[in-house]
Amino acid sequence: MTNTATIEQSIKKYILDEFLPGEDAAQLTDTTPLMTTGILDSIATLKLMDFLEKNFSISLAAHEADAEHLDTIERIARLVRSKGGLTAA
Amino acid sequence: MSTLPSGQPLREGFGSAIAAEPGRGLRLILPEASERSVRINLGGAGKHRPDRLGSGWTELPGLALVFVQVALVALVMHEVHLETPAFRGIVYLVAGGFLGHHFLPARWRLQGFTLFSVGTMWLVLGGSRNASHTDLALASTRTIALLVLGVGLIGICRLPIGFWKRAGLLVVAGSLAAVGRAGIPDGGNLAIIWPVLAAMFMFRVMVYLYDLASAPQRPTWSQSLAYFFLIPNVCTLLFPVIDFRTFCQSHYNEEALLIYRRGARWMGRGVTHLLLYHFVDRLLGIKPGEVANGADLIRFVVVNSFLYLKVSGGFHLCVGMLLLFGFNLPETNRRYFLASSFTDYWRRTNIYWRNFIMKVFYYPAYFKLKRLGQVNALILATGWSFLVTWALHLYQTWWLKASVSWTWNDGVFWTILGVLVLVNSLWELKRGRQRTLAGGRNGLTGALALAGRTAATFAIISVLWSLWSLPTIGDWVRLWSFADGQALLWGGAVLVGVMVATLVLEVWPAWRAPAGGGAVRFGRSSGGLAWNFLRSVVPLIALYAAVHCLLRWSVERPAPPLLAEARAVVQSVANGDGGQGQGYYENLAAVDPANTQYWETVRRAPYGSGLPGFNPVRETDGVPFRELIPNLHREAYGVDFQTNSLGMRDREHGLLKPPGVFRIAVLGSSHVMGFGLAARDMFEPAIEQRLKAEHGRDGEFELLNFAVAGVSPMGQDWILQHRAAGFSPDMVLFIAHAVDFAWMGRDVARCLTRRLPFPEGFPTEELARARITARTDETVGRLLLAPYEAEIVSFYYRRIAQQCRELKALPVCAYLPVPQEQASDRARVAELKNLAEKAGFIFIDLSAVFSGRTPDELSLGDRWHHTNANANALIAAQLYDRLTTDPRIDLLARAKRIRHENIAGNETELPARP
Repeated sequence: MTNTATIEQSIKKYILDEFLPGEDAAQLTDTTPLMTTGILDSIATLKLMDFLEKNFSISLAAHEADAEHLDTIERIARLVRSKGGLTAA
Repeated sequence: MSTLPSGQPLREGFGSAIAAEPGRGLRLILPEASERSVRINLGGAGKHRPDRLGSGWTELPGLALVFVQVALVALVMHEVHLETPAFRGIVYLVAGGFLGHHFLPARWRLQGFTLFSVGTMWLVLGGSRNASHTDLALASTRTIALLVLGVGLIGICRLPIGFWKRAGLLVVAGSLAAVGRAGIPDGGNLAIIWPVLAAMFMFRVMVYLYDLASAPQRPTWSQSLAYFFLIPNVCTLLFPVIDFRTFCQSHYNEEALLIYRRGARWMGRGVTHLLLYHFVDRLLGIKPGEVANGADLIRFVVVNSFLYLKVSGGFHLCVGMLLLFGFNLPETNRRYFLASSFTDYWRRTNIYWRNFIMKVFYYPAYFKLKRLGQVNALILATGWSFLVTWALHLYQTWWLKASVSWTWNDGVFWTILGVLVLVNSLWELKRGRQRTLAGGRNGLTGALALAGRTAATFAIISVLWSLWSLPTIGDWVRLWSFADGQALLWGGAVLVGVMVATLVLEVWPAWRAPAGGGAVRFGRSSGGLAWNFLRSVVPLIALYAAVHCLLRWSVERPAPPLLAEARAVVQSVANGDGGQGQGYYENLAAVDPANTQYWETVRRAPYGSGLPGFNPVRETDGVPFRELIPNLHREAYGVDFQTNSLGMRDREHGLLKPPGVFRIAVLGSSHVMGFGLAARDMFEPAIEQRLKAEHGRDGEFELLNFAVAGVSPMGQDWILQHRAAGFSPDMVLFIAHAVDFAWMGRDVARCLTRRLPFPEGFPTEELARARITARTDETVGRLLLAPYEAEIVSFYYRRIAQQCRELKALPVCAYLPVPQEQASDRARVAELKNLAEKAGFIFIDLSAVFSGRTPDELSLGDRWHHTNANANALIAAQLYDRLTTDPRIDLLARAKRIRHENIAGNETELPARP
């Protein structure tokens, strides 16, 4: 079973590195809205989904590219967990 | 429970909690349980989170404030006559309806909303061309037909068969509906249901089918019915493409009062956008044919892009109303003029459309293609999405207009926009895009760079928008032949303005916002009652007070330039005058023959003349601007309509006056032309026949009817000079109405915009005082001229009377009221009499001709309340009496004299004859 905290940390690190370089990590919480605030736009969404698929060895569907699944780190982690995602080395 | 940092729950329950944070107002806390309920349910938020629905009485002050906001929006719309009467009617109902809905038990709210929606649909569909009449039986038939067809389409989507089989069945059903939309067979009284059904289902059925296929749980019928039969879709065909999943999930997903406040605020924003649209269109709008230099070119390009305010205004109103029923939907448009890149523009403009395309077409295409590599998949998916967007715009046009024409500039517009967005996307894919948690805070250099990018995006999008607004690429290329240094100068000034707007509206608020802008967003719509009153109600009160004063300030009183223009714009909108805009959305929302029944129903007024048959009046480029088609014999205005070779509703008359005949040239408008009347019912031939019958021994009489509908005194002057004078009339009978003043202003504005010369002696100083130029919108120009109309009417009266004197014809002016005469019309009779008598006319006042009769007894029931046969009989009787008994006219004595002169002349000449 995957450790949820590890999944969330991994996602948070990716988001900070890829989309929010130089931002204060403390500002990005597990419940900070990402899609509805424009941090995750369509391109960023695709990049994030690509990362999730590769990093957690899961397969995502087109209809999961929405705020319901990806708006917060918490939701993203839940999606990964629901797909049985494994933490990358 | 997980909460945002440092939040202390104030109000907690099954679904959510609101937390207070020092300096940040209220914030919404979404607990894990509710997150889960969102995921496993397509909706039913109302069912799962009853605490968010509002407990009722404790929220009364807040609800009252929202009610006041919505009521003010309704008042502004009512004053200015924004949108159609049916749309306004729904806004009025919503103002009260949302309160009733709020106090419904939580489990009944969705059903309550659906019933309310269907109820408003029923009221709208029973509307008729008669403003005061609602046909309840017809309303029921139409509503039932719409519900049956809609439920059928929803049923197909829910069939327990494969996705593609359901999609195939929908295509078959859509094709059958298309046959109905095309009018095969004729829909009769039910023709209206096709455009309405299309507006409700053409896109939403795609979203619904897609969501059904991907949802783990089937939505309820209540959710489905509520989603398709949305207020106020029945009376606005151009409707935002609302996402089904968002619609269901957002239902009361936040504290009710916060949702309502946001909805009321968006409605206020919608009304403001619509008013701004009318101001931009009527004060700054310029037709492509009027572009004559570089400054005009920039004006055309910039103004055209701002015409989108009409769409964003309408969408804000529609979605704002839905928020009042708890559907916490996202914004439809967000400061699209301040987009800083093409992808940003795509994200800010018509956000629902973008989300629809991304969800149903872009992401599925990308996921299918991603084995080709991220970049290739992105390129192909973007290209596909723009191709679909283009095709769906044509599809939308067809459903809403029942016709569609493919144009090159349409294709070029979507291709260029698609390429720009694609290049921008590839750039962002490779280089990334600056994102910040602090709401996009920039340093000075960053802020200036953002302003520069915004100005560049605005420039390119505006140029592209101008291409989309013109009928052909050739027109657009011709427009750019005016590009010169002046264009560069004005274009630069506009872009500096956009940069300043970016700094003020985008950068400055971000600088002022505390760190962690994303989280702060949740608290934005909160705040105390006093703050909400100041922020939301006071601006609406100011807006209402402004339009109220402008509408009640008589246009006949001179005013300072800017106020006079504002007054003219607001009054022209309230009068229902058309604007100048002619882009894609203007065409889509335009009143047109393809949807006659729809427009008559939602506008509660007849379309066109409101009478069946051909329109025998055609427009002319120059004065008199309208004429009757010559040699016509067909059904027009519902009657047999015949014109002679000169375009007169009369028999053929020889140019040479027969000896001894007393000729009367009758000038006038539709009331004299016999609008909607058989020739036997018109007052003009009735007078001629009576004169012949009763006074044939005194002389021979001919009345020549030169009347044409809608012709002003300027046109009458032209008709007398170019048509009637050749017939050597002995008398000119000019039938005047109070509306002549307004028509005068209209024709002067028309002469200016068409650059037609005015006759010598024309009071051009009045034009300067009214500050109207060749660029002024005709409807606005007419109102700006109102304080000076009397001078101009007087000028043309003097010209007509002078012509009469030169022709040795007696000038007679008769004032004829219309059945629905207003008090303001009656006040003008004295002014009209004064002007006519000063010009040299003998004035006949027929004000009392309809005394003791109600308008219904006298009018045809058409849009303009024309006189019927009974009214014409009254006019004929009274005018006959006045012509034959008024000693100033002394018609019979004059006719006798002419006859005797002719006999004497013949007798004198007899000996001289060979």
